Amino acid sequence: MRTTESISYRILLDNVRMLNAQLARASEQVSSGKKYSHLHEAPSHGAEMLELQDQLADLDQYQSNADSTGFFIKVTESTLGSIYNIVSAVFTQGSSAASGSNSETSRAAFASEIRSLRDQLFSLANTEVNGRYIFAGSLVTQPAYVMEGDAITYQGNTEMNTIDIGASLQVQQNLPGSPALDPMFASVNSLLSAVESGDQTAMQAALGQFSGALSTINQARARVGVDLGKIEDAEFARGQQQTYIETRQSAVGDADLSEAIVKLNQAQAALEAALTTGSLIGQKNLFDYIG
Amino acid sequence: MSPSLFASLGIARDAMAAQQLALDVAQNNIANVNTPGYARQRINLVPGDPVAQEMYQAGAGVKVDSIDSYRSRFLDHRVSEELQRQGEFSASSSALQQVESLFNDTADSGLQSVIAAFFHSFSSLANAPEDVTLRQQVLACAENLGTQFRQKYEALQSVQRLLDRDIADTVADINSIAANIASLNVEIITANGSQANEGTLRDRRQVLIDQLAELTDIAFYETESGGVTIMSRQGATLVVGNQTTPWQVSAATDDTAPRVMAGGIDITAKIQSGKLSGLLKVRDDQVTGYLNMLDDMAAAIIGRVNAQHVQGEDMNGAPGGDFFVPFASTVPGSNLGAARAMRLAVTDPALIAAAGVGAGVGSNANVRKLAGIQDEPILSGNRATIDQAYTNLIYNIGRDTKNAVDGLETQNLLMTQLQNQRDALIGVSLDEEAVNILRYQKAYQANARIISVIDSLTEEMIQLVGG
Repeated sequence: MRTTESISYRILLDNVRMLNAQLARASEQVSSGKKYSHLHEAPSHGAEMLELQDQLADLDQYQSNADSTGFFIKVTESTLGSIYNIVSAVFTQGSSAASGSNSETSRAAFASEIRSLRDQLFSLANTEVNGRYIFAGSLVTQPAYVMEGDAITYQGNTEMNTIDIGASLQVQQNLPGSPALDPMFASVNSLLSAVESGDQTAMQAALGQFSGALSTINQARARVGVDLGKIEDAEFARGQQQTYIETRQSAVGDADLSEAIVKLNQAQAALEAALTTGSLIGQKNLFDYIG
Repeated sequence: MSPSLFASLGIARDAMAAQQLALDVAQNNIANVNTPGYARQRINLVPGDPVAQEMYQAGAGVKVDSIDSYRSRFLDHRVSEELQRQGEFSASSSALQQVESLFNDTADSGLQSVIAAFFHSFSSLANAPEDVTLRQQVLACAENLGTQFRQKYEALQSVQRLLDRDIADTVADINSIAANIASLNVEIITANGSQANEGTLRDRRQVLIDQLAELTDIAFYETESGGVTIMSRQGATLVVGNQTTPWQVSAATDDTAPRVMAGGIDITAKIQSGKLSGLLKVRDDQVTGYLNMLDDMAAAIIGRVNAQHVQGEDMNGAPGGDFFVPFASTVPGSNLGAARAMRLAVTDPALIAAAGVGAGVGSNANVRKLAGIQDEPILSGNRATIDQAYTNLIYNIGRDTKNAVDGLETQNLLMTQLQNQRDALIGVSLDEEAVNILRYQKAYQANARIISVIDSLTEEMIQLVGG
């Protein structure tokens, strides 16, 4: 093909432009550490990065939900534990009071002790976390139980809040007091009344209700324990998922620095060579040799 | 009859004049070595008409037959065709890269993170539905969602407005170039046959045709008189001889696209390549498509969140109302305007209907369902979630931009090859011209020497006669 100066300059210009673009791309990769700076460089990777970001944000939200509800459930579990221990103590006191050898004074002392323990149970049943009564169902802004005289009445409801702690993984955040604690209050109040009146038969009957009440509390503790276990398992799974997503993000989005540096050096060398070659264009032509 | 010395003198004189003209052509080529569009010229020398002699026929020297420009109609048309594609890709890649920069979402910014934050705020509220701070956070996130939708929408519209201006400017450039070509047509028709001048005029016209090809799709052909007729490939006439049909652009609004008119007829759809086509396609097909996707997403969020919100109860135990101001489309079958219309209907945090009906203030039955909307397939014919629809939008923007950028790169390579091919034919080579100058100089010197020889012969004869 016939070659003219304009062709040589055009080829030089195109090469320099191309090499400058390569140099800029490699330089951008090295300085940012990212494989791609613009969406159009790899649209499907851009879309995947968005999906991964979205998944990470969801994981963060699940973590936040798990932290928040986990605290609530732990307080519930610990409160139920305290309640169980106190109810056991009431049972012990009641059993002692029910033995036939007690004087009136000592029975009165037992009654006082049981009353005091009952009041502690009432207080625990109205435990509040961050302004929320934990056993009040969804009526969290008012105490779960009210007491008039010795009558203790549940004023919450049986609504349970479900919290998402993972994709398709939920826990029950709250434990309505009525099914779990009503039998306990009934048993304790029956015993208190029997001890105060010194009615041995009534005392035995009341003590007979305790195994059921304690069993109900234990079932509630077990249910709460299962949810706490779910939260722990979910946290482990979330950690693994997060590691996978971040690894994938790195694979999709991070530049291979050693490769980028090699490309940068190659582009620099090629550009220098092109410029050096280009400087020779037009340096000599036939006019230099015509006298 | 034998030729006279004076006749020989005449032959040498004409030869010197021819070599002088050849030197002028070479000099003109050298002067235009860097002139864009210049086609090198050549002088065509032919032997003079033979003169009959007694026994032999000797030539009558040399004469200039013509001065031609090296042009190839085929290459000129090929360059024009590829320039049109290059112009289209150049315009579309530039415009789409502006769009792309608007959607360069990162983990902490962009519409996707705002959409996620909005639904996550419902999820957070589910942990403590009676918490007023969390309720305020929901409203703040919803407000931000509406703002982001509006900002993205308006940013895309501002790209469209820039494109509108560019479309109007491009049409003005097309008209201006067409008028210049029509003027050159007149000059070329007038100069027909005046050799070098006509070649130069044709070079200038070809440069203008190339410029026009970059702007819009054209087909052109030269008539016998030397004028060119130019029209769009779909038949919209632009230049015929000294006449032009100026194109106009109808004014655009936010919701209506500009139309390109020629002689009162809408020719927008007929413009298939060139910068103008690139601008029109990005504006009317691609950016409009992205706006529609934003509108669809906004309409789906407004509709679905409202539908769920009314199924709950607020903190006062009253049934939930609309969460967002309901969107009513003014165009049947379209959600046009939804993204700009996303505004909160609820301003009091207590009125967020987080609870299930009759379930009490601490119930999260409804707010949990509101949070779950994020994972519901409520778009693309109930096949895509909001996140998937947005990812799809981002992918489409990236893919369209990539197609334009890659297309431009390929087109640039093709153009370089074509221009090199054309330059191989029409470009000036200094080496060639140096050789030509050497050739013509030597011929000139030789003819001068002949005159000198004839002069001395004539002198000798005069002395013989006089002697």
